[in-house]
Amino acid sequence: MSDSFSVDAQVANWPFVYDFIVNYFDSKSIPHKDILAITLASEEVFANIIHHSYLNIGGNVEINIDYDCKNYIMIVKFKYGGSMFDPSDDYNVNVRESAGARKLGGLGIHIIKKFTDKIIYDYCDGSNVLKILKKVS
Amino acid sequence: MEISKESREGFIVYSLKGRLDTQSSPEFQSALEEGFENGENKLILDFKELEYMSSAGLRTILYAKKCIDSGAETEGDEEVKTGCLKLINVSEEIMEVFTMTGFDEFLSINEQ
Repeated sequence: MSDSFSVDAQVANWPFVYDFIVNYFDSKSIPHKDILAITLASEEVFANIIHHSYLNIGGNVEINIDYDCKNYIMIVKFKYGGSMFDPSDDYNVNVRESAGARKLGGLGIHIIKKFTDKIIYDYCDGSNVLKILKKVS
Repeated sequence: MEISKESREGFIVYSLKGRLDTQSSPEFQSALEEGFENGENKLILDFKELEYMSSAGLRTILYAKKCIDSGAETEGDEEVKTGCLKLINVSEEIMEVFTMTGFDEFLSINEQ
């Protein structure tokens, strides 16, 4: 059975989102390593919604979470307003750069892609709908 | 997240407990900034009790690395680093975050 949670897009609310995701997947007896991976990707999505979609002024984020136990797939869906934010767009970051050559930040989308198996993005009726999926290892 | 700080054999050791994430990393960065202002440039970050780290944590660690490296001095043609940054007791899960982002290439992690 899926579960939903609505929250204002504020950094201070991330711990509540974290607990929501971790507690849900914990209750499905999913290995810690996989829960950590989907949670990490979810934090990057949530941070991008705060800073890029809502430009740090807040706005509603609806989070729906589910586990497809037949196919062993964890699913987290985010529905939010503001500007379009599609992490499934082509985006490459050079992870071989030295510390001196790197700029601070900019790794969020890279982490979303590396720690999930599939990203599905849609924009309809003024809302962004972003779904991230990870198969349990 | 809880941050504790102590001086040990010429190093400043920050021990982090809990989660280094988008909410807690500004607090850690403030602690580092204060230390850099006081000339502390030999740091050990002890991750023994750190459970989780996101890109916000990476950003803070990169900030620390850049600050320390920018304090290098030049002797003749050679650049001599006066500071250093070491990470110890990094768990397998957090190590994966460093590896996937290439941070393992330039950080001293779990080295003796």
